[in-house]
Amino acid sequence: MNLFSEDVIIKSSFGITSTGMNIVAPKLQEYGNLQVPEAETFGEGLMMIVNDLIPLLRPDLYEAAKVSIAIVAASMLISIFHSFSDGMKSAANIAGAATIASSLLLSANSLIRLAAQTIESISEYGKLLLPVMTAALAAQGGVGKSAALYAGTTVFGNILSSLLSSVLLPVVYMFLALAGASCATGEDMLSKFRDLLKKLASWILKMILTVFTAYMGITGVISGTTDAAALKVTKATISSFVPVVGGIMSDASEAVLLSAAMAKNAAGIYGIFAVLVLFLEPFLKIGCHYMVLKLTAATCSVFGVKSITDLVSDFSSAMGLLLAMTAAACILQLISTVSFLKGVA
Amino acid sequence: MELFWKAIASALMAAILGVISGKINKENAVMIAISGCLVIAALLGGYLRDILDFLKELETLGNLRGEMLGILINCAGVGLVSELSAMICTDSGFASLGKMIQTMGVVVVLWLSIPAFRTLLNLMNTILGEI
Repeated sequence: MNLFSEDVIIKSSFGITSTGMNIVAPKLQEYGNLQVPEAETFGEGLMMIVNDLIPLLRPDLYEAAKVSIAIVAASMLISIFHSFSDGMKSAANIAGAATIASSLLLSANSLIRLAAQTIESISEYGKLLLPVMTAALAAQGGVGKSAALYAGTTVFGNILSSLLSSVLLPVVYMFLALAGASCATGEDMLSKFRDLLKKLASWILKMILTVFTAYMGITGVISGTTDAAALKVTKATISSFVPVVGGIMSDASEAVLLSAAMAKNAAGIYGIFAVLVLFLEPFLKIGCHYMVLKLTAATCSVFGVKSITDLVSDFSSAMGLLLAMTAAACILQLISTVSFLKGVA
Repeated sequence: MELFWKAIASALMAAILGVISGKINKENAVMIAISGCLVIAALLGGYLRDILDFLKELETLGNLRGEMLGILINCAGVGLVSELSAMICTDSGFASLGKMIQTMGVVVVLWLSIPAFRTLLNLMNTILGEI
């Protein structure tokens, strides 16, 4: 495809005539039509992303179904062991737990790595997006608010990112190890430790998001009001102190501020879509495995093998924790972007 | 279900015959119990064959790795045989022999599951290396 055409020539806006410097520009409209599907509303854009994602989920659904069938087959066999005497039952339970845990851990490991990569990608993207939003908000007059929001988002983003990679993901592995051990031995103490780890991970995530949301809310109200007052004062000063053209300059500054707001909104909306694109595919993949494991646990319970049902439920809980972690990283970016989009009152 | 009713009938008949012949000769009662157990085990084989066929269907459907299911099938077989043998020994008055067979069964089940443990261990080593 010939993207460049000699009949599309942009004259330089810096006063250089077309005879001096001809810039051959790409046929932007044509190229845009080919590369970017048309979406008129935010909802349509979101639906297009979801529609593109559904075919990507098929291999994961197939993999999850394979694991599910293996577990159901193993549960059928393990239910035979329940007619045995205690010693044999314990040995057979250990063998069954090892077999099922190795099958589940293989897929869980790849999903944990996927979640870790997603969190890192969202965090890295935030590092690119937030300075742009901060600059645009500052240009719109929200100097105080932009600084406060940027500081808050960076601090909380870094805390969440390092907590997820250095504390919460190892906690998920420990949780799975304890779930396997608890299933094999039937020890009550191990299952209590396992529950404790799950509660700890959920509590840390909830606490960070609650504190972050509260910080964003308070910062938005306080610094937003201060910036609005400062803007009004500046306009009034220009209008009254500059003779003759003061009023015109004040009106022109309004146009500049609106342009800055438009630039900020465009970057913000694009940023939201980009974060969603980074987040949705891994989220749906992990969600698929989560749902299939829940279904498998329900099927296993039919065979009356409680230890195996609990093991599968624990693996689905681990998937739930992964979903919560990726969602927390995404929500943090979305809340901060929306806070920047709100701008100055 | 026909096999099931046959097994129940065989077990009840063996029990009644065992009680009657036990009054005359204890050895005969033991032999009758062993025969009853063997008949039930043979009838059980019919059901187990269907279950194994279904598991093979699942294996084909899910494109599963055969070795993992194979371990569990072997464990189930060893468990059934050792439990049956241990009970016969106990009924014959050789409880210590029965206990030894059970212990042997447990050890063999654990020995059979070593590949599963090894896979799990390798996986954990890989994960620990990544963290």
